[in-house]
Amino acid sequence: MTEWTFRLTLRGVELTDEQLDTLHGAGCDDGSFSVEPDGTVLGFFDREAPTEQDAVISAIVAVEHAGIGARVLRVQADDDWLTASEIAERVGRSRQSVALLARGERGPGDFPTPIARRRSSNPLWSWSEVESWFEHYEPEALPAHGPRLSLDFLAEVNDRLDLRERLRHSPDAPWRPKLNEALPLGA
Amino acid sequence: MHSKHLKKEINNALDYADQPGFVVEQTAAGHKWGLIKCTCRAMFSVWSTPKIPFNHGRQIRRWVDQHNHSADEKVQ
Repeated sequence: MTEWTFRLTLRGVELTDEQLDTLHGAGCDDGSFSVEPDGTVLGFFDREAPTEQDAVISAIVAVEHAGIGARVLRVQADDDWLTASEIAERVGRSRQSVALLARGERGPGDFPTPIARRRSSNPLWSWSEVESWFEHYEPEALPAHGPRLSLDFLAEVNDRLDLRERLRHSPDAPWRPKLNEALPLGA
Repeated sequence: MHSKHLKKEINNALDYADQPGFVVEQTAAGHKWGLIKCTCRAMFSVWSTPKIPFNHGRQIRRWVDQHNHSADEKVQ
């Protein structure tokens, strides 16, 4: 079994205590939920499944079939943001050696720039960016390859979610019959 | 100081969330242990019994990091 990390953007829920309980009971207790300032609800999942399709699709279905009126609008990959010490631990180096790589004083340079707390003494890096950098520089230092959602898969899921949303908002768009005829889906 | 969460991994993540810009509140209701509130008005629901406490702790940490609205320019 592999663990897949991703984030769902939801609409149609406010995340009341009852809705949260329903999500927990619907098997979404491997995810966490937040309400963002614009009212968007996000679901952060670390889901065990044999494939990325199983992980993402089962989460979408669980959220939407929970009976709370939630619709998934978007799926994004999510990753950890790490300090230099935490990166050092993952790649088996000292913190100082990671700092030298990050400053370009050792290694090939072009280390990713921090993603947050840039001006602090303890900035955070995106692990997926750092991981791809190490893939070129020193692949053997990387821990057993964490699975990443493929871009093609994410693009296709999101295209479908976008289209579904559009059909829902304008079911009778005047161009639809012609479009369906000229560009049938699945042809 | 936030109230104690019985799952160690989650309690550690709540310690991490206990930093300027965030408030950790225990407001138990059903499966919800409480909330983490950010100054931007975003709220994260903390489970009392998530499927895997370690992962829930990591999700808390990720959310707190992504809500770092310090003087620093916000990325993403």
